[in-house]
Amino acid sequence: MLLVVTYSQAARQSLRNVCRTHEEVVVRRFGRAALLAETEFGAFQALRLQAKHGEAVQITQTQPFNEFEAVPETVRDAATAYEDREQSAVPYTAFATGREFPTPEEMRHTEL
Amino acid sequence: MICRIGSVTRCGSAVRVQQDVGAERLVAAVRNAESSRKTAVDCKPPSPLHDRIGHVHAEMGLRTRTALAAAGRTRGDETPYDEDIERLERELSALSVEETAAKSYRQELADQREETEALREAVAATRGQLAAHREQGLDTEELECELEAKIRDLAETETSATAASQQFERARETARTNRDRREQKFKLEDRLANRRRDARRWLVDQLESEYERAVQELAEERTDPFECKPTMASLAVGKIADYDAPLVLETTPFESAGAAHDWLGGPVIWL
Repeated sequence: MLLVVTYSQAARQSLRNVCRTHEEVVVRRFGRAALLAETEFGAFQALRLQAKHGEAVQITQTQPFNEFEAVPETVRDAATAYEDREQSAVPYTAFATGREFPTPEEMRHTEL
Repeated sequence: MICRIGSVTRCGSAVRVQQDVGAERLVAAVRNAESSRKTAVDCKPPSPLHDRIGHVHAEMGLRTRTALAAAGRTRGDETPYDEDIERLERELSALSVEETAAKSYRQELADQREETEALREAVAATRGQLAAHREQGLDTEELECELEAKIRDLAETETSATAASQQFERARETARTNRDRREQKFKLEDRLANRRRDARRWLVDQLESEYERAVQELAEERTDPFECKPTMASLAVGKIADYDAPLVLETTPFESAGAAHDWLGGPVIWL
């Protein structure tokens, strides 16, 4: 999909107008941002906004997230195990110590 | 005010003009936007309020509260929000965000990638041809030269593509930094809009009863002053405002230009 984020009042207003006029192209609206369908028409609307407002309109092409492809098992397991922990007050760093889970530091410095 | 239409010149604060002159032309003349020789209005410069009530006619629309607040400003009314508004305006004008060349880099990158891909295919095709020639025992000299040349081209294009890709990455980083500044600017814009709205509300509160009285003077029966006809609201707003450039009145309940001027307290052109 195309994620359109606006960075000015005028651009936000134009995005609202597009969303109102072309509901069929809007997958989801979030205030100053919207997800548009990944069709030529979706791109056409996004590019119109950018032509009008320049870089106050940011367009990003999103892709579906598959954690089983993109994320190592250790990280996935760590997330599940941490949310299943018995003592809710334990911070993750303490939780990971002594277990085979990655530290926040390690994860921060490893790109997907 | 001096109002000249063709060879007829009229002076004073209340001028009557034949209806066939065309109100639009007069409005433009007041704004000095139209320097036609036929119609000219020599007057003081119009206030921002003139954009709202400068031409009173049956088809007009009016955001009454906004116009009323603007009328208050023409009298020099101030609000407790003005300092904030000025500060935010200053901050906002000091915060400029440049557009980056990201778009041209995106295009360059796409072009380079396309070219690289085409050359790769050409190299592969020539290799295939060369192998076929060798198998059939044909002369390969020309194809070998061709292949060499294409490999050279490909290497060059790949180098340019790498450069374009690096340039693009740098532009992306700049754009990211710029977006932080845009975010800051956006917040200021929102805050300024809120303060302006506060100021408008404050001015309307101050002027509401005066405005209501003005509407009741014009209305034949009791009328909600914020639901009445735009022409009536415009005149009532005009009565409150302090202005020097004439209002062009196409639809009014007044019997003459003089009566309109007396009631409004400012210059008029009456059609």
